[in-house]
Amino acid sequence: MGRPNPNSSEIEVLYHQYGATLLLFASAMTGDRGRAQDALHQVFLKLMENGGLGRATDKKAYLFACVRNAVLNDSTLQKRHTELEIDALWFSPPNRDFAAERNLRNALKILPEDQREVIVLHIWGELTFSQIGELLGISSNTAASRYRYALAKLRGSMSAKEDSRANSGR
Amino acid sequence: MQIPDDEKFEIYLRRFDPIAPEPMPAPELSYQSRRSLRLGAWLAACAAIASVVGAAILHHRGAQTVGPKTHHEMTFVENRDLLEPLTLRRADTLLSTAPSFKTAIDGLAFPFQSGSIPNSRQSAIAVLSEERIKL
Repeated sequence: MGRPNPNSSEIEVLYHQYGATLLLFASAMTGDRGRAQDALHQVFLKLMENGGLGRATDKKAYLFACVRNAVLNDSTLQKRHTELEIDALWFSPPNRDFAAERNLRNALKILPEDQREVIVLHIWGELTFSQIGELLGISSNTAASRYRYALAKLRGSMSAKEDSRANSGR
Repeated sequence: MQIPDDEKFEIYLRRFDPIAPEPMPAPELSYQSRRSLRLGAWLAACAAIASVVGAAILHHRGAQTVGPKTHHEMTFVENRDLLEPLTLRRADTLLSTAPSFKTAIDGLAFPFQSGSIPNSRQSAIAVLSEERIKL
């Protein structure tokens, strides 16, 4: 039988620590929760097989890069730009406001893919613009500018939806 | 709901917690482990085949040596059987194949005797019945 990997516990800790955000990132890229989950598992199993993260200094950014590569590799085989699925929850909403959760997902859906990536990486991944720039192969200024555009769009579409909900409730 | 400025909007968005992924599946066995498992399976299969073939050969030989040539003749024990010790299996075969209980007992008692036993002469039961038991 195979020897137990000494780094497997560290990898499990990383999985628990960043798994949810990594899955959200993969979901935002693929639009498919199942494929996102597969990509995430693929990355972590590969890490276990290879015995850890090697000499990666920024582990979180490294994990996001791995997941992104896994999704992109998968997407080259299966056609890219699939429609984002609507049924599966991505978030646990505050105060169990599932309408708001759906509203957020819809707002994320209509964002361009590059802006959606930046929003997820900065808001939920808590990566800096410098880290995002390195990950996506763009400058930190470009990352920051994409973020601002994305945030404005997201806010606009969510506000519009909230307004229409409020009007229909009157 | 009125969504306020960017900073507050960011805080609002962060209140949505991403849902945790499913637990990680057990890692697959490494290539070496898979190879050794495959080798073990082959060895086990070979051993099983060898034991089945061996058992079949033994069974065939056993059937040849213990079984009677004809059902009604008394010469149901071959000469080479005589060299073999009496075993439960052989006794069982004798009992099941002998034309009568008496013949079977004779076969067990006088294994070196080939051919039919004259009636009431060398019968083990007859000999035993003639013996006087002193108390």
